[in-house]
Amino acid sequence: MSQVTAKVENFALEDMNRTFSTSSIKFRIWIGTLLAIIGTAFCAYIYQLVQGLQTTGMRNYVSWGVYMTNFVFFIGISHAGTLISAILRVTNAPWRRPITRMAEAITLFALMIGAPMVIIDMGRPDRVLNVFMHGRLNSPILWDIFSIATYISGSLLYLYVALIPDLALFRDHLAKPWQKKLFTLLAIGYKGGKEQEKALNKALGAICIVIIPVAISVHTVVSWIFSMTLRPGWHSTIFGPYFVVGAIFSGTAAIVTAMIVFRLAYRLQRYLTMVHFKALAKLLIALNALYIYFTVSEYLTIWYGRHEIDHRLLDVLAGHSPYAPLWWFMWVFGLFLPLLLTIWFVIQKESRHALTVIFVATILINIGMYLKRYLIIVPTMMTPYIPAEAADIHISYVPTFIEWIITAGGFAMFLLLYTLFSKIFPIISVAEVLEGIHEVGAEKVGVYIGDRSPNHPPPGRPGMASIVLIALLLFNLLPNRIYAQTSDHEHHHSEEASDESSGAEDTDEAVSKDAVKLDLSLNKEISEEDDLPYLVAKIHHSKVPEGLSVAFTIPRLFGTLTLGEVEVDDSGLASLKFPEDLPGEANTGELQVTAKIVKSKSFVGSATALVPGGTRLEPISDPFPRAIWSPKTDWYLLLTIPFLIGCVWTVYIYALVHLRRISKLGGK
Amino acid sequence: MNRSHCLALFESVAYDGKNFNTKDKDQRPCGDVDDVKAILEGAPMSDSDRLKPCACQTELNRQPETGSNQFGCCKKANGQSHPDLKQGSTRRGILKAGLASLAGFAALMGKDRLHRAFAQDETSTSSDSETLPTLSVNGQLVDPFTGKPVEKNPEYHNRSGHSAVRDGIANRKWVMVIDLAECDGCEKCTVACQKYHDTPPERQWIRIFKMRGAPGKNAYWFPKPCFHCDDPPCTRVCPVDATFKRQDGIVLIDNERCIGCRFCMAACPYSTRYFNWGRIEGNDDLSGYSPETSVPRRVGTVEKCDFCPDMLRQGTLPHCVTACKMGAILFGDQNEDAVSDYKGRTFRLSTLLKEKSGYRYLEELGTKPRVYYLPSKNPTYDPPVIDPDAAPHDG
Repeated sequence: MSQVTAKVENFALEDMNRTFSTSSIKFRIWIGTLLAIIGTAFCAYIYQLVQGLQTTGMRNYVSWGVYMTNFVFFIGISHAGTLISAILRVTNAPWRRPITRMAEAITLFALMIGAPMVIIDMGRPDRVLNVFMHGRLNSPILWDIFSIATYISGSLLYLYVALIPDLALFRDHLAKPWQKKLFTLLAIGYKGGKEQEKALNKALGAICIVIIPVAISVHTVVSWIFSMTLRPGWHSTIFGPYFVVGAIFSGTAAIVTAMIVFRLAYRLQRYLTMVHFKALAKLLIALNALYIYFTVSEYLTIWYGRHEIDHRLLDVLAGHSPYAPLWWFMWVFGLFLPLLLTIWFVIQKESRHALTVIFVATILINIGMYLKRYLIIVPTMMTPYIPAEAADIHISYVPTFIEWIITAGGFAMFLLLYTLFSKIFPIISVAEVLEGIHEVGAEKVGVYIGDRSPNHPPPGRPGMASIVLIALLLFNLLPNRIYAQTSDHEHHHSEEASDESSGAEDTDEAVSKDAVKLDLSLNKEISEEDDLPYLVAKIHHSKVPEGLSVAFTIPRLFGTLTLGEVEVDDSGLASLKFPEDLPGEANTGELQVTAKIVKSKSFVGSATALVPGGTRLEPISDPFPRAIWSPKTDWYLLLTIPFLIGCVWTVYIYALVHLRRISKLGGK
Repeated sequence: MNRSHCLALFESVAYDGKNFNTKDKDQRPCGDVDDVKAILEGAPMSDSDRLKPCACQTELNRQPETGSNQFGCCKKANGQSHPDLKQGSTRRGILKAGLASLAGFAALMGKDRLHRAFAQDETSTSSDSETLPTLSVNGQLVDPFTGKPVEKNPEYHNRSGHSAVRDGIANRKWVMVIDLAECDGCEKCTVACQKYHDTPPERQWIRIFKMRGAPGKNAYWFPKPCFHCDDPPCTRVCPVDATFKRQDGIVLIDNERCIGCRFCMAACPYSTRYFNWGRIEGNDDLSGYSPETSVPRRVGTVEKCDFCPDMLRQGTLPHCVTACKMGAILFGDQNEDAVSDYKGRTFRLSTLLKEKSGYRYLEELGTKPRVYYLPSKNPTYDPPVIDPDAAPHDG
């Protein structure tokens, strides 16, 4: 067995050193192209910064677009690493060994692209620090920041810890001096002794268990950004698991795509064999079926329930709208066709086109998943509760060139980071493979140990397939451009002649009238019929004419509230039921009642009194209680979130302590 | 408060005999629409007019101890000088600096407590300066008392944590009632709002929708401002507390803190929020900003209907209410159980809602809006013309 291990070690060192070579012209063209795209995207972003978000296709109704789609998509891709690496490592699947590195690197780089997408989407990226200065724990965005930050740190740590044995292995077999220095530095003196190995396994074991719930939390929280709102199509209870499954699905597809590309570009046929592709294809079938199941249950329920607003959303998705072709494309080419292709891939034997097919399938899956995220975000925003047509507003969203170029820049940056990583560090986790061969044999690990490079599976040429795919995608996006035309609704304000009528009563005539004395009091004994207190106005005048009325009014902030008008009886008395339930002064409950003679040509007079007995305003003990809408965080959030983050970080620190131990042992 | 109310007060002064005060006579009646317009439009006022305090200005500040004197409010306004805006700013500056240095430290748990403590301190020092500058048509902030432009003033500006702005007007619960039976869809409310908030034409903080209910039901106009919900979905999701709910019921946005993530726009089920997507021309001087005036607006931030708290502080109705000559929009204080229209016709809120079957739009969402609608029963206008095949959309 040790002979085999030594043989593979020789192969691997040679092969990996070959991957570090940067001299090939193809590589330089590739990097140049990526840099050109990134440069253009950078310029586009500067332009967007200067001009504001008006350079995008987003407007007040559809206020999130491609950037949010990118965010959700990249966070989704990042789940590749967790699943392949952590779950398979925990369950000790032997075939995982050659592909863990690729998967972990995808996680880190996808996160590094996905997280800044939110900042690109922000109207004021210069104020991003406000999130820390004025952060509200009640906001799902804060949850996102915490969980993504924890996830990025975790995956970096995870990638690094798993890399240490390889760093140590390659330390002495490197051509480039700077790389040698880097490896020596990063390997922290790891020599593979028993104690060091034990410490490393403890660190790795701890992180790979804790990273699974962290990863699940990340995509759950991403979905909660949508599902915590009251919007149709978003406010769904299954969104958490739905997004998690979607993320693992697209992440797994991405890792298969990456494997095929690396296998072809770096001639890694020896390490990435049919064993791995078939195992991953089986996983893809399961995830694909699960995702179809979730999608069907999501849409079937709202379609059957026929809630008015859900129904309108489904009309946008599946009916006559620019989004319908995308939606149906997502179903046919993003879910069902890849399912059939992966099933065929699993049952086929030695087909020449096997890898091409699985490559097409995984690319289709990720195009479908990108569309799915786009179709979750945009059509919901096009379905407001009060239909925009009722105000003659035309809503549409067509991503602009700036948005597409920044998106392309994001993808290019991801590919660049991934490529550069593979040029500096071994993309196959050699040490882990060797360990696997030592433990269970090369066959189970799936590594070919023959002398010559294996012919099967054939290298596969996905070039044509990808061209067809891109054509398909463009074809699909075309109708979107044709249908949707932005037209800002113009309002023609008719300048009608304004009828400015003075609201104030004309009381200037009062001067010429006879002034009389009026008494106002609150009398509780005027009526025997009920116990209600009465407001009583008494006119002190020898001769009270008939038909004289007294109006009882109470001043309110913006006007005078008339309690009632009462005709005065022979004795000059007018009484009105006192409105006990009317709020009075804030603290005393007093009401400032005015009694005034109205409907009289010869008399004028009024009296005002502060009458106790109105409703007292309850003093507000706490106008800003702990509530989700308030600046004060709810207790349960305040306790849960720091506790959960604290738990995860404790494990990280545990791993770091073990790394320090390795370093100490290496120093001896 | 309108002219009739003011005059009624003066009248009773004349007949009461005890509290007769010649100085009170000199007060100009305030709260009058024309008067405020004069200030806003920069119409020339005599100096003596300017110096006269507004009779009802301090209605807002009515204190329990002045209750024995019916005209306490006027008396207070008369004798006292205007709040010296500069005074105390140094002390607040120190406080602010202290707060800033602590802000990062107290990011999570301690933050709220610290903020509240700070806020309380502010309340105690600034009780006499509850008024806010008014925005004139040419975008200048003027003092409502003097009509003079207001200098950049830390009291009202750049103060996200300023208690008067964040806490709201004490003991008030602003409420709006829209009578759909009276609305004729003339959009004068929209135009007035746009004029005073200097908004571009397509941005309508109060927007008129043509609504139709079930087939056969009458179509009606539906003015939609911000609902200033009591359980607002927008403030729930704001990551930086830039949009906030005040104790007087108003939901405001601090565009000096807003990071432009637009989560609040996604969360608002009523689509009342607008985003400043691009640069705003002719808006270079951003000094005189307060969340209560919502202007000058800033690029990359969210804005919406604010219930005109700057007007409310002066005891004046919001612009859309004063502009609605149909009297379809009523506004008032729920704590007073009264709403008034532009003429000052005042109704008991509870009675109005009971008698006219008032409702809140999309009550089932549980957002508890502060805007009530009265159904479009027996409308007094021509209903909007709507395509008969259009799908019904109704609350």
